[in-house]
Amino acid sequence: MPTATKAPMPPTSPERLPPTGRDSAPRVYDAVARGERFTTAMHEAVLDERHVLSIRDFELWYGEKKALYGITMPITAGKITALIGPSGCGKSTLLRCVNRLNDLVDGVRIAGDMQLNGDSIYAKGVDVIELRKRIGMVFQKPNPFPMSIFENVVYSLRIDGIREKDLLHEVCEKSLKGAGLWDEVKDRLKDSALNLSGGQQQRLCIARAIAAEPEVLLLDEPCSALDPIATGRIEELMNELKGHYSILIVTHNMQQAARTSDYTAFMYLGRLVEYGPTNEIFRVPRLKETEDYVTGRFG
Amino acid sequence: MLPHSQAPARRKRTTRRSARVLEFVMGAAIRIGGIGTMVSVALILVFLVWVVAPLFQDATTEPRASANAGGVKPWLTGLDAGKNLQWTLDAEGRLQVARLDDGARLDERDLVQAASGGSSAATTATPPPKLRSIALDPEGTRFALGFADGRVQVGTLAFRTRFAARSAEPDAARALDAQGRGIAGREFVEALPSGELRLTSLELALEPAVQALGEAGATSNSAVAALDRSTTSARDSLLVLGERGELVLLELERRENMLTGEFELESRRHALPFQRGANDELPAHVLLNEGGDGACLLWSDGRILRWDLRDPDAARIAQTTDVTSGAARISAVAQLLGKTTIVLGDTDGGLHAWFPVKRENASTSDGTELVRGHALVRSGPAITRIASSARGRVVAAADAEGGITLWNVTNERELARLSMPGGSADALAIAPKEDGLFALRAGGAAAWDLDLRHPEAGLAALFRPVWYEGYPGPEHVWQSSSGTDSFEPKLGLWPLVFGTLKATFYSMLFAVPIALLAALYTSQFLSARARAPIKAAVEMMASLPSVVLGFLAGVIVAPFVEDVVPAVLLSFFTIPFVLLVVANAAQLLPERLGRRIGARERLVLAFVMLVIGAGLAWIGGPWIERALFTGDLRGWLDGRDGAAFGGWLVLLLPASAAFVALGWARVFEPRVRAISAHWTRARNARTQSGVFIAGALCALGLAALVAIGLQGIGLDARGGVFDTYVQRNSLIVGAMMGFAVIPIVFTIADDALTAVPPHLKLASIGAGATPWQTAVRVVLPTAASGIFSAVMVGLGRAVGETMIVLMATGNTPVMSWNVFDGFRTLSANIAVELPEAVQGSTHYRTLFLAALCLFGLTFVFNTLAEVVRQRYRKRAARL
Repeated sequence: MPTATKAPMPPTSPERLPPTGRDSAPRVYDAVARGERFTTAMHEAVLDERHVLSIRDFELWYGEKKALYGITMPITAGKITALIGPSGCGKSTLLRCVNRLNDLVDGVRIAGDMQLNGDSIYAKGVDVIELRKRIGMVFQKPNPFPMSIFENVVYSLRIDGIREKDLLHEVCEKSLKGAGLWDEVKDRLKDSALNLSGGQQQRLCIARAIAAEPEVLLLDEPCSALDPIATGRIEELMNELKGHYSILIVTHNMQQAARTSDYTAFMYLGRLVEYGPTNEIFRVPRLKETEDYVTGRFG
Repeated sequence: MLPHSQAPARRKRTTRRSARVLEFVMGAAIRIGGIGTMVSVALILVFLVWVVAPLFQDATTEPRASANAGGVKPWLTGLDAGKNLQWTLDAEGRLQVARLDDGARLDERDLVQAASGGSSAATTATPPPKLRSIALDPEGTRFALGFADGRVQVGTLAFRTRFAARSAEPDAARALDAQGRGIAGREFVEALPSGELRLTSLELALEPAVQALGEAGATSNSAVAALDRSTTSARDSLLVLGERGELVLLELERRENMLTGEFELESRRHALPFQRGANDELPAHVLLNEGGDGACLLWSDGRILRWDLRDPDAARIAQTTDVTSGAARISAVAQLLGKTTIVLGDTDGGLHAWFPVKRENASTSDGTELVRGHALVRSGPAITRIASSARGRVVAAADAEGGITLWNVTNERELARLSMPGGSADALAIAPKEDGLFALRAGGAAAWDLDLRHPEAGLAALFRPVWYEGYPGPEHVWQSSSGTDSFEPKLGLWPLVFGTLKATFYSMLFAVPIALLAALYTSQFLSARARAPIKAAVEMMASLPSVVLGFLAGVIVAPFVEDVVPAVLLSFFTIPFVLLVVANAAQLLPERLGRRIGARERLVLAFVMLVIGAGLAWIGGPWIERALFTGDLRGWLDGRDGAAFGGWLVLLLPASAAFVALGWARVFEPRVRAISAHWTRARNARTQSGVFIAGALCALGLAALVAIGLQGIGLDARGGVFDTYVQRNSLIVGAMMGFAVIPIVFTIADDALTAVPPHLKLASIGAGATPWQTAVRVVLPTAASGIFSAVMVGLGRAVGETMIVLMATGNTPVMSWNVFDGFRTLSANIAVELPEAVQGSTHYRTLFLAALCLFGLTFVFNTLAEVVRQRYRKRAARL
């Protein structure tokens, strides 16, 4: 596996940005409605980081319907990147494209490419199974497998045929500790995972994902099915994981994005509208549309 | 509250009247339908139980008025079918016919006089020779008399009934009493509700006497000490024992004289080489079997000499044995219907049934042995008389203390216990319809109405091994009917239950893997668009009438498979082997090329492999047959020739392959993985292929080794799972019934697998599991409840399936696990036999019991399925 390199970014110059400002009228939506091309308001800060994942000119069609338009987006290593945007803007679709789960949907076509630490994800001849082992994913609804807590955590090792008990236990403990669940379940690892509460189940799913030591962790609205306390717990966890793991999270919750993420990308109708450090996106977005959305005037 | 709700309603807010009416009507209809269904299922169960219950009910008895006509000491007695009349024979040879209830006499004959009158040698000057012995067959009609002058005489004794109008028989009509009965001449008259008269009389037919011992007219002839008669369609056989120890087999044949048109009795005498010890007493009884080709001499002390009379001129003693223990003496003898089973009562109160059985290692000269099949009573008051039934296996035994016990011999069931007031019976008779019992003593009589219900049934007879006449030991046998009246019905239900389970087992063995794999394939590996037509097609398969499948199985598949058995067996190995070989070969392809093989190509490839596998089996079949089964598999299966090795190899190969694969995965694979972690893909693929080839060879070698070992210690697979090949066998039925079961299992399993929440599948696939790993590790366990109920519904179908098993199994109710043998299921048995069962008969009720068993079997399966399913479901509900 090639070592992580700073992925070269496509030419995105500030001059080509549409004339927008925090006080200007929302023209992006009009442009989108007219079907015009427009360029993402990309904050330079995101380009200066080391990138674990880079998405380039990525487009996607569900049959005849185009769902993603020319997404170009580098994901910073060791940081949390949040994808926000109104329902149906393509956040989850983009997330699922990272580990090629959209392959499973009939009639999906794509253009462009993504690179995981320099390895193409969509090139011909990529072994999808091997690729997915490098990417962890946590879904909206907690989805532990109907087996014991232990077996859930070591699932990714099991499917690789690893049987050494010591190794399995070591990974299980480490992952559960990583997911902040160890103290709660260490005495009942053999119990069914389905007996856990919703928040615990979600943290178990995170433990399951990090057990494979993924290069990037994808979180698809991980807290939308949880109560506020469990949500707070997950958010704490994300902060703890930051640094060790590169996290890409889709969220509907503005506060969550503001609280937890380092970078935020705002998407609208399949386009990446603005992408920059979370502080800037929430405090001084370059686009009026972004401001409207993050302040709740639109969305 | 919304503001407009306070405003006056502009729209009527009442539910429409029609909606309310419809609600009521539909609610009622649904309730009626639901409750009706439950009630009707319950009623079916109640009906089944109601029909079956009499099988297990005890006999009832009711005393009946009776009288000893003339107060004589009787020798033999009998009743008519209507239980109105009795006949009694005393030691003087006087035959009396009288009313059963009051003893009023209708008729009296002197058999001695009749015999002498028929003989030209007799004169009025000398008194007629005394009657010394008599034999009466179990049906109570054909008898033989033995006289003091060595003559014997055969005859028949039967009640005749005729019907007449009152006007035609004015005398008879006048004789009727208040109860509508009376005696007119020699006839008993009964007024029927229809106004007609029924007239019953005893008809006695006597053949001319025949000289059995000595010469006709000689004065020094030996008297007939004992005799027995048995009748076949061709002739009468009489075995006659003279008081000086002569033993003669007399064959009587009625021939029509061509000139006069009269019947003549032609007799042949065969003197048997019987030698008796000087001081030995004379045998007390002579017993001839039904065909007249076997006989027993029975001494009072229990010794039995069994004769082989198949060639009367070379008759020889087949067996000598003793039937009593200790000092007991035989005190009563009777033959059951069919004259094969002998029921013996002794002075110690023992009541035993003996019959000859064929045995492999019999110590006798004709390969059969007389065995004590049933011990009804071991000790008690001495048995004085035994009477057997004219239609079944019921005997009545009177003891010295006046007790009379009724037994059904086959299942050793005590039916009733009666007591004759005033002492023991001298003569005993069971009414022809088994509905009455008559016991007679010098000074009195007793009669009972009997309702034996179903003496040959009962829990033990139906579900436990029973020692049937002629069988080497107690066995489970189903054989409900036969050509002869003397047939002993064998109502063991286990062979049928076993057949049902065997059919279910083999069909599930075939259907479940195929159906579940197919469901996995369509639900997990096919796109929704491709799935729809396949599912529709398989569901259409379910609508194929099973009679068509049965027809195909019996008429087309069975004869075809019979010709290519080795190839069929071989295909079970070649097809998986070819698939594995190709899977390994695909790994050897360059990576880029290998990835080109998409789902469609794989499907096509799998089909091609299937064909190649079948072709290999077709070609290799005869070769394997030559190599392992001496060139004739069916001969080998019969056990006629060939070594056990081939059979063991075939049986052990799957197990050995599984063992090798497991051993590899458990022991060696982790080590190889550690070494090969940094190898290239191609190198890994090559190693894998090498391992596969080595593993295949290992499996073959291991199986061969164990097979040689097993053969070495003298074990043979034949006789167990492998045995004689029958054209219509379990293999065929398993496959064809599989076709009936597959669609059901497939459909339900496919639904269950499709219903697995997609987020679980996504989680597994997202974690980098292959579709197969996802299917096996996540989808299958999650869908376990649905899969389980799919299998159980399939099981229910297999248990109840009738037409296929009826047409393709040969319907032999045997109990063997042999794959190449047939069986008979409960359902097929009901279908075959119910149309010919007499309503209300034991057979009829037993078939209903079979239905109840089937009901119970499916009930047990379904309950089990439901319990397990609920457990899985609780877990699934939390997903």
